[in-house]
Amino acid sequence: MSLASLENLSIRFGDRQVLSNINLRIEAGARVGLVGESGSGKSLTALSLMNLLPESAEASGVIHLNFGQHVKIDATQLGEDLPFPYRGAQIGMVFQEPMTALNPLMRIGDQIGEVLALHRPDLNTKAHIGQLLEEVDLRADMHRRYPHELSGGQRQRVGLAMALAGEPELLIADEPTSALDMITQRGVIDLIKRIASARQMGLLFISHDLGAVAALCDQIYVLEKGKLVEHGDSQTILKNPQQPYTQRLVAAAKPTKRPEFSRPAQREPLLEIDGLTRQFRQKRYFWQSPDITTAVDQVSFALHSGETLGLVGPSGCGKTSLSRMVAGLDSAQGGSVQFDGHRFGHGVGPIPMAARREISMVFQDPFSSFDPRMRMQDALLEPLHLMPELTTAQKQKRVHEAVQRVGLSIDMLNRYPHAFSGGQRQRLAIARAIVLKPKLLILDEPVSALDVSIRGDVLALLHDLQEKFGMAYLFISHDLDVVRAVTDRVMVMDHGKIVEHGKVEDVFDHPQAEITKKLLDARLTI
Amino acid sequence: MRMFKQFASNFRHPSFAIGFVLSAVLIVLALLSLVWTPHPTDGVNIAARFGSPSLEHFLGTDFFGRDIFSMLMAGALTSLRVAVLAVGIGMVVGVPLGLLAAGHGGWLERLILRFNDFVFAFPAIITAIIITTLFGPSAINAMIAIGIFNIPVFARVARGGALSIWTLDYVDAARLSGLKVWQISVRHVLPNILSLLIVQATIQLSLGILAEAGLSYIGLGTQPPETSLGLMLKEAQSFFLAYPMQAVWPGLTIIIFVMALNLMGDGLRDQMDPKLSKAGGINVAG
Amino acid sequence: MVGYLIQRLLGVALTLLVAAALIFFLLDVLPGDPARFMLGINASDEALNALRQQLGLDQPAFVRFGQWLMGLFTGDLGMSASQRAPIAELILERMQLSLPLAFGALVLSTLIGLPLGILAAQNQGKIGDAGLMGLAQIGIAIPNFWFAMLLVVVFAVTLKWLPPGGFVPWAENPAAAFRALILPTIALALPQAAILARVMRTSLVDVARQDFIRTARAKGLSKNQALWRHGVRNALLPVMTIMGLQFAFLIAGTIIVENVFYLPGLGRLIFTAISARDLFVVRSALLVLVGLVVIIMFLVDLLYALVDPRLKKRAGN
Repeated sequence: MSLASLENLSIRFGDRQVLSNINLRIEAGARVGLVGESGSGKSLTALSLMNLLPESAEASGVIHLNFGQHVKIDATQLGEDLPFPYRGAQIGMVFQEPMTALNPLMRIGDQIGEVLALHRPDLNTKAHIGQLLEEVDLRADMHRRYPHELSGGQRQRVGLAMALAGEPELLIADEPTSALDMITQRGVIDLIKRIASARQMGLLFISHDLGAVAALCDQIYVLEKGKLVEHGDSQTILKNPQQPYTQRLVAAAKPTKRPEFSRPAQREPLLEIDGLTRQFRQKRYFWQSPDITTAVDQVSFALHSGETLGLVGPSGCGKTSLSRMVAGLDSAQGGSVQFDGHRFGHGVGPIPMAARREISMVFQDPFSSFDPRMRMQDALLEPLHLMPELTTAQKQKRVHEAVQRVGLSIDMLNRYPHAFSGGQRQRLAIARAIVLKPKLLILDEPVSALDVSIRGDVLALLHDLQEKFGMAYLFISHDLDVVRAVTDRVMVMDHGKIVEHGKVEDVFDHPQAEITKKLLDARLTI
Repeated sequence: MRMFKQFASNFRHPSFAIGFVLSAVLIVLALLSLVWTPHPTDGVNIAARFGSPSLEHFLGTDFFGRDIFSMLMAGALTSLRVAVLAVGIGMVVGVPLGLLAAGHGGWLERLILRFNDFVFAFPAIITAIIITTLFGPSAINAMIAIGIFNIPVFARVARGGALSIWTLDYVDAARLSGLKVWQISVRHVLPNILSLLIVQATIQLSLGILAEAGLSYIGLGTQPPETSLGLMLKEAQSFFLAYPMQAVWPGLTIIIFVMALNLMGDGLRDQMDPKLSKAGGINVAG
Repeated sequence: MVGYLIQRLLGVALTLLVAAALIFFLLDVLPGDPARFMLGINASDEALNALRQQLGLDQPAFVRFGQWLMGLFTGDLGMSASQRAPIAELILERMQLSLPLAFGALVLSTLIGLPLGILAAQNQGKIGDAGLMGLAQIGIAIPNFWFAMLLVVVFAVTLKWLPPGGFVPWAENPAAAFRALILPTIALALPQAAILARVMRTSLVDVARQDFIRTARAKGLSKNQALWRHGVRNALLPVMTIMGLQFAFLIAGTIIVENVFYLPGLGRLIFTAISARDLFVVRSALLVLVGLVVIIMFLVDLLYALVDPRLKKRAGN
């Protein structure tokens, strides 16, 4: 008898079927992964096991739970009125958002103690709360802290301690590491793995990230648009995926290096950064002298036409601040930028208009990249403000060319952004970036927010465009595998400084800086 | 066409539909009083005073023998005019202030926030007292007092909404396209916070009607021979015990008007982008 | 915390100083010659001169402003020309009516509004929620002075439970003074309670959707337990801000409702002074009103800081 299983679980909201006939079982002590893209229904699967489905959800099917004795639950009965004593006791759950999953007004020790008071009042002592905190690699004396005094990774550990407090036999983790940076993510995944085996718990781990699932689970279920397409033990699925959807996921998890193209030799770099510095000042009271944090500290580097330079580093290392200064969106407190014969930066002045039209940017989130109240047509015309010498017809032509270049049809241009999918929007964002035919394109995590299965297409598109136009790319990403596949050289940034810099193969194969080693160790490869 | 469709889709929301229809009826009746009322509102006919409801005067007549229904139409127009112009003052001054604060940041933002806090300490009644002391009471006096109070309300809502827009990537894209702060505010920010401002405007409109009533009731607002819903209540108070219906009708009109506008505002708010409505909306009475 | 307190207190002081300067400018400087303003166009030169001397109007404006400010600290605000009594005494006497009225309404509206708002949020989408919010919709739309008139008819004239108006000073007959304030307090409080109930419901419904409520339920708490233990305190934060802003309207409301009950409060003092063109009374009474509003907003901020441990993060603003 397995610990928990779902039999023909289906869920719909009104007319919309979101899960169809899911069959899934979790054996005692087994670690099961559930992989799927956003909207595939994986979170609802977990919530049904917790009897926490939204009130408007209509479920059917059977849930079997076997904690000491076998219980059969008719899924149509799920809801607030169904007695469900397992939640927080035999089943513990960790959620995705570490920033909002804890009550901001309550000390974390009290939040853990609340679980104990409910399920194990005999253990509700300061000493035991301290033990739980130590089990998740926090200090016992942190119990007096409020959530805002902890980092994202620490909060996620508190969430884990809360889930463990009821001594569950089954732990459900819903994307527990997706909001964390790479290094913290790795730490939390290793921690969950260690605790699950030490406590002999069953684990249901839900993620969009095949790498994370592979690192943690011995069985994998693959969910696509509410249907299970494949399941089996991890090794088989990863080595020998049967379904096309799974094959695409596996392929996307290990991006392949694009063929190099020849570039004309050039001596002068297109972009030369010299000692660029960005500081943030903040003061609490007007009589205090401000606290100065240096986000970017004396950074210098060069970039040639047709070249792709990777920029990696842990979150908060300053890579976004650096790229914004290069793009002219932020002003520097020191240093300057030499770009294509123009110079701007500290003491030199803001970015000149002539340079502005040669630098474009593609942002991470395709959904906030476009004004929802502006037709695509007008959004793509906007950069051409910088080229007042063009006639309206010429501008129109430029837009059409750019849209065709990114593989979309020009008759969609009359629509508003909401009519496009995430992948299409990112293509349009690239189209907007190339309508000026810039010499430098800054790509800030251009594929991180996209579903795994379409990342490869967008990367291929970027590669083709570079080959055709010879643009230089400054490619920012937290995903080292992507960086390795698409860049020529890479810079590693930490605490505002470039700590390592070189050919991507050299840096990744023979890392020198401590942070590079940590980042490489944190990679979740399959 | 798209605008119309969006507008029409609001009617699926019952409270919007009820609120909109009721407000529309009241506004049309009020505007109609400009050209036509069932009976003249300026004639005095002492013989017909305090008449009971009849076919001719179906809500009866008042102290001066005037038709109450006609008086309500004219009174509603004054109340509406005061409230609308007060919202106008608040929006015309407040929205640019809010956009400026969000777009510019730094010391200017701090100054505007300070100014906001400062004006919040002057409820409309205090401003009205000051103006009345200097220039004497009038409907314009009430309108300015309520309008001044509306300024920080709109500034605050506009800033809140604008701040959430300024964090979005399309604003950065616009900056990369060489647009200046004011151009971005007009092109991208304002259209995206418009729904927020419209909702706030309906709320301030209803609060304005209430505030006008209060100010006129204590003699700081509309003065005879003009009429307003609040002034009718003031006049009715002296004979309230003998003729309570004199006060009931204008009171009910105020309640229905205010409720209709609030229901409409709620309906609009419910259909707005939830992220945006969290960023700005406040609901304070005036 | 101490730094925050100092910063906010300085802000309050600055706001009051600017408010005083503004009121002084509008009522003392703008009318040109206050003495002529007070006595009217036909006043004789002797009378004008006498008044100027009596009120110290022969001195430059900034000196008079300084004297007024000093008076606010020493309690000597000068004499009322129309009522022949010290202004400070007049204001204090009226405050014993206006303050209990405003604070009584604040307390009563909180006691009624918050529980009803929580109740509605707990039953979100059900019939009880719809009923309560429908009532709140009506409550918000009712002008408080009109509601006061209804209360007089029902409870004073028809049922004769409470006096229809007038006021006996606390010192003479505390019970009578209290009874005189019951109906005005209810008239002010109920529309306020409707607003608070709505704000509380909205805030709690918002909080109920947040991740930490789901976390609380995952611990094994029921929906209502999670709302009470984790939701209500979080939901109160925005409600407190609104309550601070609403206090300004309670103050305004007392001035209006006084009229219905013929209560000699600050409102009456101001209106008599306006008719008598007694500018000195008006300016001091107005500053007291503004001061009350500013101080209440400051106290709300302080309360916020005590309840919310994140204050350190959003300091300075």
